[in-house]
Amino acid sequence: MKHTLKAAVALLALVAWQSPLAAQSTSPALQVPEKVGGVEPGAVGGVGLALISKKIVLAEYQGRDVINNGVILVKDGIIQAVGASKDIVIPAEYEVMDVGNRWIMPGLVEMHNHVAGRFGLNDMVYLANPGLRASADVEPGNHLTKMGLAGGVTSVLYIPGSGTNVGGQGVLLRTGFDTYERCEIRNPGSLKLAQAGNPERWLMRPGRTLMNYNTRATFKKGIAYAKTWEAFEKDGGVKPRVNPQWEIFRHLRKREVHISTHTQMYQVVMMTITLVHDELGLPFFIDHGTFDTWRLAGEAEKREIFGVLGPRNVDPPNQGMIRWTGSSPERMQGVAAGYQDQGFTRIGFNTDSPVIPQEELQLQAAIAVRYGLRDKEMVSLRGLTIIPAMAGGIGDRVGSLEVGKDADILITTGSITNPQHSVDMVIQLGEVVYNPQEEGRRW
Amino acid sequence: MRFLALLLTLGSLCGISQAGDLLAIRAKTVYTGTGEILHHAVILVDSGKIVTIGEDLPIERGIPILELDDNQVVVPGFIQPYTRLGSSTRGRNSTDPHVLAKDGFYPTSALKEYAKAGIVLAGYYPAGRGMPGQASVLRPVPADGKSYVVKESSYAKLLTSSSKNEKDRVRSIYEAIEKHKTKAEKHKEKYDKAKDKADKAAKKEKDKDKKKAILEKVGKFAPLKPDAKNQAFMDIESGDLPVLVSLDRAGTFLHFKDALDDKSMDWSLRLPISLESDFANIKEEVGKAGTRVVMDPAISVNPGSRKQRNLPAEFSKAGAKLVLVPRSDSAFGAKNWRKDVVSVIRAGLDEQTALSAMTLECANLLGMGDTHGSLEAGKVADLLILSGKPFEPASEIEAVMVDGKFVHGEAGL
Amino acid sequence: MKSSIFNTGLLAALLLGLGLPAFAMASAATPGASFVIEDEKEEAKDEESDEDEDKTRWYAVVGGDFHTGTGAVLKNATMLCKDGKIVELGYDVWIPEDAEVLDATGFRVYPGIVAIASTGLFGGGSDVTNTVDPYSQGMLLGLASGITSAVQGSEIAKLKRGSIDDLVMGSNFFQTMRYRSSTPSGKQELRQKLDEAAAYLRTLRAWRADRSKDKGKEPKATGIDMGLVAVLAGEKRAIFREDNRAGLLDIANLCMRYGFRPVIQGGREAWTVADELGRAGATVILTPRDRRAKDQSLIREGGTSIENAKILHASGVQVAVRSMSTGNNSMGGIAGRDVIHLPISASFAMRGGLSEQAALDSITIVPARLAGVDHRIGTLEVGKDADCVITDGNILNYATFVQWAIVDGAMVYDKQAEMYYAHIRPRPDDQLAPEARVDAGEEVEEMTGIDGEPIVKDAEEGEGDETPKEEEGEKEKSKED
Repeated sequence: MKHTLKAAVALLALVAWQSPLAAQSTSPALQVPEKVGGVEPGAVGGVGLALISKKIVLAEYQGRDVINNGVILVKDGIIQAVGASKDIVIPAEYEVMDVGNRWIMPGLVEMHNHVAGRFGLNDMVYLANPGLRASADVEPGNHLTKMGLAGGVTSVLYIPGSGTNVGGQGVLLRTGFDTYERCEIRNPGSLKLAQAGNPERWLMRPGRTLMNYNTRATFKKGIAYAKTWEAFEKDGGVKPRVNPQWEIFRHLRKREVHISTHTQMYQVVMMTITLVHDELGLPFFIDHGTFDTWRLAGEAEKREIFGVLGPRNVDPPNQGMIRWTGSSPERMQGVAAGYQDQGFTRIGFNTDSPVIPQEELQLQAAIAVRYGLRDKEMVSLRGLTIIPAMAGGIGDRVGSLEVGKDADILITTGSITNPQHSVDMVIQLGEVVYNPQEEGRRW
Repeated sequence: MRFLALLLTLGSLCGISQAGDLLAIRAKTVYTGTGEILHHAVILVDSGKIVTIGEDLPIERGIPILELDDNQVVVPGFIQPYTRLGSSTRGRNSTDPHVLAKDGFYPTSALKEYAKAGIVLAGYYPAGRGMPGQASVLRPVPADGKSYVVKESSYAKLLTSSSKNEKDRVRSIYEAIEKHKTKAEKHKEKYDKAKDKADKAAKKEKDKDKKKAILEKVGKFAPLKPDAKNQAFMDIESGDLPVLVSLDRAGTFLHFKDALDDKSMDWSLRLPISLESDFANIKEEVGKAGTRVVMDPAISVNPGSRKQRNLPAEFSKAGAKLVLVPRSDSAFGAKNWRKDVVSVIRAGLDEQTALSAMTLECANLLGMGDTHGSLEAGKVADLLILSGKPFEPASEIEAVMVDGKFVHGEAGL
Repeated sequence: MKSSIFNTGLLAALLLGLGLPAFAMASAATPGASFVIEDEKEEAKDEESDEDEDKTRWYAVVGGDFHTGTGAVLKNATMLCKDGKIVELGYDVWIPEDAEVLDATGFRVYPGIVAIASTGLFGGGSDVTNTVDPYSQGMLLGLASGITSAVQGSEIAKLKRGSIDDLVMGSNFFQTMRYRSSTPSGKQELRQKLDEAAAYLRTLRAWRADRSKDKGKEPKATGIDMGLVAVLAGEKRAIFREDNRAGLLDIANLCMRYGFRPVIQGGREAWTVADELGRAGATVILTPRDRRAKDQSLIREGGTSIENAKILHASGVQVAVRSMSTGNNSMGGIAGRDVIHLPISASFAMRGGLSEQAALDSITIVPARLAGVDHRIGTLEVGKDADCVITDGNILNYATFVQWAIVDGAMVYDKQAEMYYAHIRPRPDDQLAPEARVDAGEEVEEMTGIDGEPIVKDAEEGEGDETPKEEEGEKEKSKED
């Protein structure tokens, strides 16, 4: 009798077995429009490109999430129009590319990258080095960057390490091109500040007191320098001498670039907020912001500060952590979820690549959701795009699909927060810079 | 009460001959250690023993009376059942349950500090990993100044962990017993054979003397005696030798029971409390069985958190018999013992349970609960006079009586 | 294309719709009844012999959607376990009065995950039987991640909180072999030993088959590598640690020559020789997220590919997925790469195109097969061990949590009872998993477990991407939230 039952199960299993597999849908291959006049449609100097998709993720900051059945028009590397199909007339000269069921979304933005160069940028002689530039170390199109690109990362902030309090200036880069000139978005792209943790391992083993003193003193000097230039620019007089050591502070004062702050743990981040924001009034974003930092996310929210969280993505309950950082969440606390619970809205993600490979930036969003981030209003996708872009001061150029912005576009198999979904094509400034159908799938 | 009074009269009559040893202690408050508090109590001590104890008892004229102040409190002498103070030997990793810890004992001056801390008996366990031997019971400060050893053998110590070697060690106890039994059976068979042969030969033999000689040659049956180690193993199996099993973590309890495999053993558990002790996992089972647990008076935390838990109180509530031992064997540890217990009481441990965990349960662990550990008629007069309630931090130990004699402080005598 | 997706979905729905009631009838009409009688008999016998000690232990998981791992999905079905074994799985199952019952309505039930490589899940050393710490954090987190069995060192054992009984299911199922161009003499030596082993095996078999009386003594195995004999006899699997294309080809050739099926650990470039490995009957234990750049000095294909698993599977190679780190690094704060995120590792294989079924297999039945315990674990089937996990969504989805874990027909993990994950999307008694809110057969409205996340393909439902209408509806809803 038992055999009969088994046989019945087996038989019925055969009948029903297809159901879970049925959804392995494969969309037809993407048809890239042919070049017109030797230039790709959508690229600088070429004809326009119209992308049609069932779903376009706009990721506007505090704006629209998504358009269903939409069209996006690209010309000269810039987004010309984006909207519902019914509202947009595709100009006759535009080449059309229908991506079918695939999604269209903005390229991912990484505000903590160490792999776009040769990592020769950890100068450890002085405790503060505001004059050093990461741009001198860039290696466009290297393997790790290309892997990141295959994972959808189109813009990165390449920054010095956190071995000193002020590591130097970062550079904002595109990842899709092979020359520095085409890659550069902004240089200087940032100033790197590191508080507590890593710089404590510097030559003299400074404590937090000295480091905060040193940071304050350095920044005040820089601000004073910038103020003399501001006075000159406003009132004229004797032209001040250019000092490369302090030039970055002129950009900071104009809020053209932001300070990316290696800061984590409650007290340390509180110090960053009170010192850099409240006292010195310089633009900065919380980089890392891990361990128990989530507990003061409310303070950061009040001041409209951005957070680019990672590479740690959870605050785990263990004695080692309690001894080390004082954080005792008494549960597996998702970092981003903690921020969200405190009412924090500017949640971005980083990888600190190579700590986490650049191409796994999306996984940081997935883990955030897994560990409790409520993914309403596309919080996770915004944390990969517009939030880090704004944190780094390039929210006007990239991070969302809006008219006038760079045409940095991903064509994906679905929501990129889900690790099961992948990038089928990357377009940067209107050019196809990653096409797995031609060059093989990298990620 | 009247009945008690009569007893007292009788007792005092009988005791006339030893009038020199008689002493009555009159105290406003006496903690008996059995969970009772006596008010306006009298303790009559004779020849080192408590003859009687009760409330509002009349005292025969002529008996010296120690009248305590109203604030003074009498409690049973504390018993530290798990110490290595004064041991000079370094432990090996062995299975030697026949070894007695007293053989490695050297009296040190620190023992005086034990007495000052109110410790009247100490269970002195042998050094070493595995099963290094049996704990002996000592007087830290003997009433006569020299009889340190009160009991040579109390419990065998077993330090175990989650490993094949340690599980095999437990199994080896019963394997050795089986081996010995087989050997003994063979021995008996051999004798029976010889006896049978002799009997037959004797039957044939007519000569009486020769007959006698043949039988005498075989003699009476002498069972094969186990050597000391095997004897100890058998005592463990029979329960004559209780075992204190020290666990490193909760999981080891399961491995220990697995190795024991339902074989007979009278075991108590030593559960050392460290910051993240996970013993709460076995609380229900151990509590349900009413097992005796030897713990440190310490607050630990839930693993992975700062959430405090009071494992001694939890085990006690679950039904386990609680013994609390000083957190260190040193004089310092002895001195802080009561203070540490206070911290556990403040976190929820019942006060009487705590007192019992320092007295009667300790005596029970040492197999001396019938004679020591509480203030009851017939028991040895080991008691402390405190300047206040036992778990008031300000209370000082003002006098320590061992075997009816004060060995520390004189309480105004 | 759109229509073809639709068709597949419809077909699946039809099959489901037709197949399941039919199954229900079959189960109720014939064998079920006899089961009852048998069981009652047995139970009665048990009661007579010893009431307390040997009492039959019944456990029933009722009402979940059973993703059995055999391909079948039994919606809203019942699984009955007796003394740790599955005795019934289907519909109209009779449940004994004294059975412990878990109501899994609205949840999914999967076979427990089998981790092909792990460290630290058992809380002890290499000898699981004697060193396991069943109260350890590793075991708790392992179960919480859906792992009910794991290979540690040379053993495969079960994770059972609070128990040390009968954990180890097998050991030494692999015979490690090296066959590398870097040591040509070693290659030659292995071939020679295999020749000897094969010759010995032939002699031995002939001797065994010989029925004559004067066949003499059993052939001597002096100098023979018995491990290799076991491999040739199919009693053990040979495992090679190899990533390079050339080495993999060598192994494939070797195995075809000697007639045994290799297990490859690593296999980073296996996708370039998938056909050869398929012909050799290989199983590859891979890490989908492994990455290594192609050696630019070579003309041929090389390096890692995210499509490795998919390509291998298409060539008939069985694939087992191993996590990037076999330990538990999440407790250091970086989650997503270790053994307690094994489903995420498998979902990266899906990213590369591996089917959902094959991805599930790669962390359940394939590793079980490798360890030689597929007759006990790896799928949910009558007669197998009652090891399963009950989840609030697709087990391969990054947001899904294990709600309960059952091992040997007893609950060993309950998410809401432990401190680690209880706070994340807590499971109110009155609230069902998201799928349960719609009737079976209807399309699922939103992604499992994640509030308002835009629709992600739900493979099980067989749907493609959403139509705009539904999207807008959903969006409105999320705005209201």
